[in-house]
Amino acid sequence: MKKILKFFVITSMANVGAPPCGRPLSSVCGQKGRCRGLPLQFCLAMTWIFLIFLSNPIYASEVIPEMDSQVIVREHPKTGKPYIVIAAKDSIPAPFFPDSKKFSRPDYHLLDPKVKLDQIPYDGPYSDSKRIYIFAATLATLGVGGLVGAAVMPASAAGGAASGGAGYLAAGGAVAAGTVTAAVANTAPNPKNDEFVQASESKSIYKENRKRL
Amino acid sequence: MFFKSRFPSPLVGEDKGGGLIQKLTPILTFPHKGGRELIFSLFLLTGCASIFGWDIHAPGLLSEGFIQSVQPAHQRIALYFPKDLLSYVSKDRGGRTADPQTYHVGESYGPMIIEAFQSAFAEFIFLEMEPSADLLKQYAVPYLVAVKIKNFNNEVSGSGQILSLATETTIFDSDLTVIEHFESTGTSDVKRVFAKKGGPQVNLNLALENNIMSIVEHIQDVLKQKSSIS
Repeated sequence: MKKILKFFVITSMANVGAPPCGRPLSSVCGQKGRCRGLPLQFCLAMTWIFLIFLSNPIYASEVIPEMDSQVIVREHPKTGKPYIVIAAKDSIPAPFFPDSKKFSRPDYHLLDPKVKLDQIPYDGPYSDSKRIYIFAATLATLGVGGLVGAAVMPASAAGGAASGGAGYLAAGGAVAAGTVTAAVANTAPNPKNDEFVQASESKSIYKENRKRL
Repeated sequence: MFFKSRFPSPLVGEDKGGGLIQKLTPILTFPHKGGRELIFSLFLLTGCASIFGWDIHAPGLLSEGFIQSVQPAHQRIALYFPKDLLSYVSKDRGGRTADPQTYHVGESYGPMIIEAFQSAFAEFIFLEMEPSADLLKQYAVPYLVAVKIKNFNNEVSGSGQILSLATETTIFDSDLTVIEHFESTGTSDVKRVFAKKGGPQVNLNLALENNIMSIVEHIQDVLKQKSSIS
């Protein structure tokens, strides 16, 4: 920038007093009378000189410290919708989210107890806890049955609360009959209590006291 | 450094049924042979139960209802949360008699809150680096929102399951002055949730979405008040 300004100043200075014909001052001019080009060129030169002096403080304020940030556009890991990211100035910023599978949006009617399993399609992730009972049954057959009942009982009880289906009864029955009966009785669904409750609340714990953290 | 001190890495959720191994460690030198076998068997079974429990990953997407209900605000806003939030995991099994459960809360919460901000604010910027006042001013960001997970709670009962997620959110202006600091809780209470394929996963998703809904609405309210005052 400084070099460009200097170039303009030098060229302007060289033309100070030059007539409008464009010839330099040093050249022989055959025109008579007052040269009207002089004030204009002089003003231009003065302007450039002024700019040169002015440029120093401009430079001072124009100096932007090297920011260690960059703006990139990422795609949402689930929807693919792009969004703006300000990240550290690395050459290639590492992905913020790990690769994940994409699913369709969840339909919360699935959670309604009155809705049957196949009424709402679901393609999202799921886990199956049946294997814990298979594993427990395997252990039981290995001869630590007395202990298995005690150790697996909490898990099976919760599974009964959870699954409450034929799968539970089949697998849990293989573990320990006494404890399973109690669990099933405890987790039998009560139609009167079937409901689908969701809540979201927000409360302020700090407000406008302008305290600087 | 400012944010690291204010927003420490989220902790792994408390395991209400865990800690047995640590408790057993000094007892493992039990002198009697039978007692040692008993404890070893308990140790083995507890470990295996942890491995073979429920591993619950939410879909990590907002529902259509959320997208339709939230009105986008014409506001530039930046969101920040530490990357550690994505690895927030809760092993709260929700009761002594419940199966071991592992809830991968953070991996779903991160994408969901970003999607929510995309829908709720016209000019949304996500900060992947620690924010500073200079940074906000450089990019002309008037407001910054920082979110951290406070607590994840799981209650498994005979009839169903209640999941709730509590978060703390702070709104800063471009000078990193606190405008608002609030706590949000999203709860989902569902009966017979484990009976359906994807039930626990969708239940977790709903609890997260309810939390995010309250955050977004609270922020929009605060910004409306700010704009009406100014």
